[in-house]
Parts: sequence; C-alpha cells; structure tokens
Amino acid sequence: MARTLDPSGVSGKRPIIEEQDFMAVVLVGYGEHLYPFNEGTNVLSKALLPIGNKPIINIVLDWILKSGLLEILLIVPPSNYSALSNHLAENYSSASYPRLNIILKKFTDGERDEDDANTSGLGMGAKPAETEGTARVLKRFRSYIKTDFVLLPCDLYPPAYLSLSSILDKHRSSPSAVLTSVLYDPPEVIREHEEALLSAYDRRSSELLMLQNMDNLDEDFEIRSALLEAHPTLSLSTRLLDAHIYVCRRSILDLLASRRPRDLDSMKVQVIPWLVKGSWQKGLARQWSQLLCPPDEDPLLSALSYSTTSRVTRAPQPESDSKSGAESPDAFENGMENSQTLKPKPVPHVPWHCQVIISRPPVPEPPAPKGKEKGKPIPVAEPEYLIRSNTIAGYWELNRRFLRTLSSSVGATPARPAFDDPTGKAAIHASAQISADSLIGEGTKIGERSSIKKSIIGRHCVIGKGAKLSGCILWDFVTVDENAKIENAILCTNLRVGAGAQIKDCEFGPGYEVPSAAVLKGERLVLGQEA
Amino acid sequence: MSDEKPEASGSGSGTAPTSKPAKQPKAAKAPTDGAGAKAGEKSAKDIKKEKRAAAVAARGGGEDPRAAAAAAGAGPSGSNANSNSNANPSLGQSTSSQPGGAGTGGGNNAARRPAPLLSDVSYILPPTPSHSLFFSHLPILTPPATATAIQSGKIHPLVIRLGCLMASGALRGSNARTTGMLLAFKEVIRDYESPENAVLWKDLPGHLSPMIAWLEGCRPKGAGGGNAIRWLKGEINKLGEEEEDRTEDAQKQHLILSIAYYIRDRIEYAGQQIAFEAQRKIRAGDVIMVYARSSVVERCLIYAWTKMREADPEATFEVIVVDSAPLHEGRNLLEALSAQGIPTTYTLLTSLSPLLSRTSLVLLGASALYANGSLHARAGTALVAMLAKEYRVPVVVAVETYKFTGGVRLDGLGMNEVDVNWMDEDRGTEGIVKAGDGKEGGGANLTRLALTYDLTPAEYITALCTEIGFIPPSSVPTVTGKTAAGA
Repeated sequence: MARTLDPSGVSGKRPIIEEQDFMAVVLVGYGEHLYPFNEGTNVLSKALLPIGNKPIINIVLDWILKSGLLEILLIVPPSNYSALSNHLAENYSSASYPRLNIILKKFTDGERDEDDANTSGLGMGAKPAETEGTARVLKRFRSYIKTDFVLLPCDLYPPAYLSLSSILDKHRSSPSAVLTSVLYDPPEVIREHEEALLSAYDRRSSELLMLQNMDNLDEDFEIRSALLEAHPTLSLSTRLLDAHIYVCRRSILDLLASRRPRDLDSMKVQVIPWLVKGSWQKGLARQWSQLLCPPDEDPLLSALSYSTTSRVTRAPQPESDSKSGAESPDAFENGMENSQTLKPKPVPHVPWHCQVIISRPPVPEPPAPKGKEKGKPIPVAEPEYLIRSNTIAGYWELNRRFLRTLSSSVGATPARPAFDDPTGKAAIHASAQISADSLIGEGTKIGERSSIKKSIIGRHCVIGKGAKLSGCILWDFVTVDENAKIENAILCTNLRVGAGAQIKDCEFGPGYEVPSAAVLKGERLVLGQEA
Repeated sequence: MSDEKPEASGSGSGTAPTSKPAKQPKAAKAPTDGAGAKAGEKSAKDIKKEKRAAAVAARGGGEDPRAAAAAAGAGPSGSNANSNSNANPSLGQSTSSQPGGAGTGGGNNAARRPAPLLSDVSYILPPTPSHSLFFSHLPILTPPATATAIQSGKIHPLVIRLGCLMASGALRGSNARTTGMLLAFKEVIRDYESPENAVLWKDLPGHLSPMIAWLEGCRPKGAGGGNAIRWLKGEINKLGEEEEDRTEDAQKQHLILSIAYYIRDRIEYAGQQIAFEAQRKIRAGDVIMVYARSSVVERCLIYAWTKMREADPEATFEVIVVDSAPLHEGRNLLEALSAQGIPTTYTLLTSLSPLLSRTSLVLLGASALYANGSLHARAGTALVAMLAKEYRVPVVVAVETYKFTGGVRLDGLGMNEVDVNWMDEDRGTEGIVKAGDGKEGGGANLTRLALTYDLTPAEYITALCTEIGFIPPSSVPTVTGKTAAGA
C-alpha cells in the first residue's frame, strides 16, 4: 500500500496510516421517480440535482468526508459519467482533498458474472443495463470493495443530528452485526407519496427483524411464532421508511455471490429483507453463518469471548475447560502442559444479526420566553427530518426547507437576497423586487419591474421585464420572457417560458419551451410534449 | 501586593488608579486559593480585608453589589454563577473584567474592596454535568470521536474498532479489554513499516503512543492493561539491546510471538491454573456466591462442575449469582451457568443478607489488586465482601498475577469511572427520566450517576487464588517485585 508521508511534519517522517476499515459506495440511479427531470435534452444526472443551487451529491460526499472515510466508490450510469467526472474534478480535486480517493465507475464496468453472459448472449440488448438491480451492480464491483462498506444513495440529505460517524460507530460496537441500516420517520408530505413499508424491529437490542412492502401484503399479516419466541417485545411500524443507508460486512457480497442473481436484484427491495429474515430463522442463520462469519476473520474474537457482556451460544463441552470454541488458532497456543487433550472442536455457530437505527427528529426546544416582549410571534423551530430527493415531492420539500432556512437566517429585517454569485456578474435591474428569502445564481440577469419571491434561481438565467416568480425553482440557463407569471414550479435547464405565460404548480423537463401566453396549471411536461 | 494595604486603608483618597488594586485581591483570592503555603498567608490577609470590607460595606451600601458581582464573575463558580446568580440581577454581568473602571469617586471605594466570601453569593451548581461536584477528577465515559481519529492518520482501523467496542460495553472486563488491546497491537505491529532512517525499536513506541492515548480516552486501561502495555514497551526496548542484528521482519515476528505468548501464559493459562486451584476447594453440597460476572470465576465454576460430575454424576453444588444495576452482568453469567446445568440462584444486592447465612464460599473477580492488598473490582464487590466477613464466610478472589500493581489506593474514589448515561437503556427508569424535565435525559434537574468500580480493603479478603497458588492479600508486593525483575 502506498504510504504518504505526513505533511504536517509533526512526527518527523512518520507515514500516515492509510488503511481504512470502511469504504463508502454511492450508487447513482436513473431517477425513475423523477419524471420529468429525467427526459429531454441534456438531462442532468440524478446526483447533480441542485438543492439551493448546490448539487445533492456534494451533500452526500461532504457527509461521508465528515466521518473520516477517504475511499469512495461512485457507480453511475454510463450517460452521466462525463458530467460527474467533471464535477468531481472541479469540487473534489486532489489538490483540495489530498488523501481522498474517489473511484468513479460506470454501471457497465466491472466483472461480468455468468448471468450477464447469458442474457447478453440471448441478444436482449440494451434493456438489462437499465433495469439492472443495485445488488447485481454491487456484485460486479466486488473486486473494488476490499473492506466492510457502507452503501449510500446519491440523493440523501441527512439531518444535522445524524452523522455517518454515529452510524458507523454503532456498527463497529456490535461484533455480531452483519448489517446496520437506518429507518427514518419522514415528514407528512413525503409519506403520502412513498410506498408504505412494514418494519419490525426489536427496540431493546436494536435488531431489525422484518422489512416488507405494504403493497405486497394481503389482508392478513402473519408473524412466525419462531420470531415471537426469539423477540417477544418486537415493535411493528408502518410509519418508517428505508433510508437506503446500509453498513455491510464484506462477507455479504460473498453470500450474494453464492446465490442466483435473478432472485436478488435490488438491494432495498429484495436483498435486505431476505437477509433480515435469515437472521432470526435458525436454519438459515446457521447455514449462512458459515459464509457471513468465516472463522479466523475477526482478530478480536477471543477477546470478545472473555467479555462480561458476551452471550452464551456454545453447547456444554464435557471435557475441555476452554472458554469457547473460537479459540485463537495459533498453533503454539494448543501446546499447554496441564490441559487435557483437546478434541477437534466442531465449528461453532457464530451468531449474527442485523441492526437498525431509527432516525427520528428530536423535538425542538421551544424558545425560552423572553419575558415582556409582546406581539412578536416566536417562531417555533420545526423538527429537521431526513429527506431523500428521489421523488418530486422529496425534491420540493428539500428546496422549501432550504428557503425556510434562508428566510429564518435573514430574520425579520428586509435585507439583500442571498447571492450565490462570487463574481458579481449578476445584472439586476434596480426596479426589480427580490424578496430576502430568494437565492440568485451567478450570471443571472433580472429585468426591470420583475418580482421574485421565495425562489431559487440558477446560474445564467434571464428573467424578463415584469416577470413574476413566486415559490419557483429555476435551474441553470432558463429564460423567462417578459410579463410571465410563474408560481410553484420547477423549471429545468435550458428552458424557455414565453412572454405572458401563466404557470402554476408545474414541473417542466429540460429543454422545454412554454409558448407565449400559455396558461398551464398542474402539468408535468417534457420537451416536445403538448399540454 | 504590599501596596494594597495602604490604599485600602486610605479609602478617602480617590486618586490612585482603581483597576489594579481591585483586581489584585480578586486574583489573589480566586486561583491561588489552593496553591499552598503562600495562599495561606494571603487568605489570612484576605480575611482581614473581608472584615474591613464588611465594615465599610455596612457604611457604603450601594456600591457593594457592583463589587460583589464583579467578584462573583471571577470566582470559582465561573460564568455559570454569573448567569445564574439571582443575588445580582442586572448589575455586574459584564463588569467582571472592568471592576472599577466605570467607577466615580465613590466607586473607588467599591473597587478597592476585596471580593466577598463565597457565602455571599449563592453557590449555583453548573447545569450539566452536575456530578462534577464530587467526581470532577474522574473520567466520564463518552462516545469516542472516531472521525477525528481516522482523519489524523495515526490510529489503525482495528484500534478504532476496539475503542468503539470498549466504549459501548461490548467488550467489558479486564481480561477482555487487555486481550483485545494486545491482539489489536499484534495486528498493528504486523502492518507496521518503519520509516527510512528509523530503527524499529526506537520508532515503534512512538507509533503506538497515539493509539494508546486514544484507547485511554475510550476507556481507561486499568492496572492489568497498564501492566501489559508496560511489558510490551519493555519487549520492544529489549530488541534494541540485542547483540545480533535481526531484520525488521524477524523483529516484528518476534514481537508478535511474544504478545501471543503473553496472552497465552498470563491470561489463558493463568485462568486455567486458577480454575484448577479453586476446584480443589469446592466440595459437593457447597453453596458458592459470586458477584456480577468475571471471566475467570465463570471458568472456575464450570471447570469445578465438570470435574465433580466426572468423579460423581450425582454430586452437585449450588451457585448464587448476585447482581446489581446498571450493568446487570450477572444475567449473562446466569445463562452461561444454566447452560452447563449448574443449579443457580439469581438475586440482587438487596437480598444479600439472608442468602449469606447459607453460603459456604464467596468467589470474586478482580479488575486490579493494589500493593496494600486491596481489591479494585466492580462496584458492589466491597459490599459482598464486607457482609461475608460478618457472616464468617471465606472470601476468595480469583485473580491473575498480571493484574497486580504496585500502586496503593485507600478508597474507591481515587481511580474510578463515572457512567452518566446508564438510565438510557434501563427500561425501568424511563419514568424518572421523563419526569426530570420532560426532556430526554431528564434535563438539568436530573443527575444520573453510577460509579463503575469500588475498593475492597484487604482485611475483608481471606485469600487470593492466583496461578501461583493461594496467597494472602498482603503478599502482592512480593509478587509484583518478582514479576518486575523479569519473570
């Protein structure tokens, strides 16, 4: 392993320890739920969706970096490869992050297993790549993943109270945890749009016991009595959603490799529920324990057997006086004088389980009443939720939350609106009215008498005279002609809104053109579509 | 300092600069209070000044609050008292650094008056952690900062994992933690490469130091761990004194082997030998009482049971497991013993007396043994030992010699650990936590306090069962002397 010398020079020339115990794997999908953002000309990658003019992949990468991880594997669809490569070169160059190592790969790279050879042989063409599940992609890249890893989505906006460090530490502190996942309590607006998930977990031991999609459930729901015997105090919930944060042991990939790929396509939908089910079913647990907990892999195993918090799993051994079956295998340790003859020990069943962290926003403290101030409504801070921007609703919610933080930070006094513009090239007409809780990107020109409220405007946009924007999100290179009125809409890149158009509650894909004087309400349109 | 007196006595003259002398009495009082003989003199001076100040205050009246507030600002309560003290509502919040600066002629008097005694200002406890009133010298168990550890590049990932395991309690117990530490360092040495122009035996201790410090922050090592680290450093040093020139790989291999031998001899083999010794004292029909869970005591019991059953399948002895909050380690011991078929009773510390009357032997585990024979073990051990002595039950401590240390402790507070988060997992106490302030953790009005260890004086221990046999507690220094000489 290449060793870099410690540049701080504190300890002379002591090399830095480069090995990491975790690697981050970020999967970027095609954005199936993000219609109309994903169709049109110059479609933006799902990872580069701007939240407050900042791509969401930056948020995920910064979150990873804050926990100290330095190895990141980013797997993207082939069409997004160059865009992301440029983005990474700009924002996460090796100059600014010397020890960071981001490996960017396309879906189609990586080893091909036998199943891929079969399908391509049949001439099924382009389809498999599109519909390929996350588990199959992961299997392809298992040669790049040498340590335990944490699987993350590209569209996650983690709240301030949830740090990746704490999730990783929870995994590190449980020696028998094979998987640590995060379930979160979403805000109401998100829950309505997502499929409900039935989750069963043991609150006391933080074990995850079952994950099932509610749509597939019949009228009755059965729980095996084996599960109830093992975990009599389990909790069932339909409120929680899966955050797609999975801290996995490397041996899960070995387990996946031993199974038919057709059954285990998607991590979230198939693999994780299947793995979770195996953890409490005794037969499966024992069977998989060979693969998931190979002997001699954990150097601390014999230390853990001395711990006062270790649970008993061994059968009574009549003759030996050894502590547990999993002794250190070093040969010389067996040559003890006073010991009885040690029979060859049967391979013990090493227990394993899946852990879960439930992320709920803490109830914010009501601000202390300041005594005699009357008439000033004290803004109640709202709880900060974990939100994923993999649906339109999520994307909206994230941007709205961003706008709310803008307005609350600016305060009651009317101030200049936030400018995302280091070069000062935005040309804003003096008579334009821009509210304080708006964000304007660089290079944007705003015409006279236009009014912009609670909006996020990207770079190099042109807002014509008299245009009225309220609660809108404009990406880069959008042109709004004069006197257009836009309310609660998302306009993607390279879009043009004709003069005098009235748009309310719409989302338009990249490259779309709104004809002049059009009146559109509640539409989702892409390039070439008629309203 | 000597010009204080004439200025204070000449209270009429307002010409002298007011800020300096006013600062000096405060400075003399607050930080040097515990400084030693010099502080003794000063406090005598201060007492005189106080008396004079009180007399002047009786006359001066209005200026006093400002001086009092200013003094409170610099007092030992610190800024908390400033914000919390209700004796000084509006004055003096910001004047702590400018005691008499804004004073008029009359203010000169106030500024020169020395700080009032602490009894004038109500002593407000700092909000959290309130345990600092008695235990501020003890480490509190906090979750480790793994992100900074990784980013520093000085801590091996296995050591980070070990730190997390120790801090969370998954790895608990002196044997477990010491073994874990040595195994982790084995891997660290295996992965180590000395930089150019550096010799392994000189550089390796420096490589290991940040890791040892970080582990200490996760969980203090204790005597056993400290002895193990000292031994390891000694081994590394010995490499430098060798005659023959070994390659670095050979040296590393030697160290790895030495660590494995240490674990084998002083923990594993010692435990086996202790079980062998203890088993000879356990007869059929005995009732043995144990406290919480100790790996070596568990081993003794299981070995004694299997030996007894081999000799006579009908023979039996009974075990009483005494347990205590918050850790409830005895539950796992109960499971382990029941799995072997040993008849076990489980009880809490509160039911100790009636059970002791039918106990024949108390077998305790140890975290450390001090040179005066006192035992440092899980909190509650002392209670069991003292009560057993009342009932004339022999108390035997099963301990490996690597836990012997040359230090001396006279009470359980000198070295201990404070656990402030124990109510989080204890379901029975949910109501108390919620009632504290309606907030998570009970808020500022609730202090959760649990000490991890306690000290049992030597007179309550009948004998120590070690791998070198049964020895009295008073012979600990002899054993440590022997091992230090290089056994």
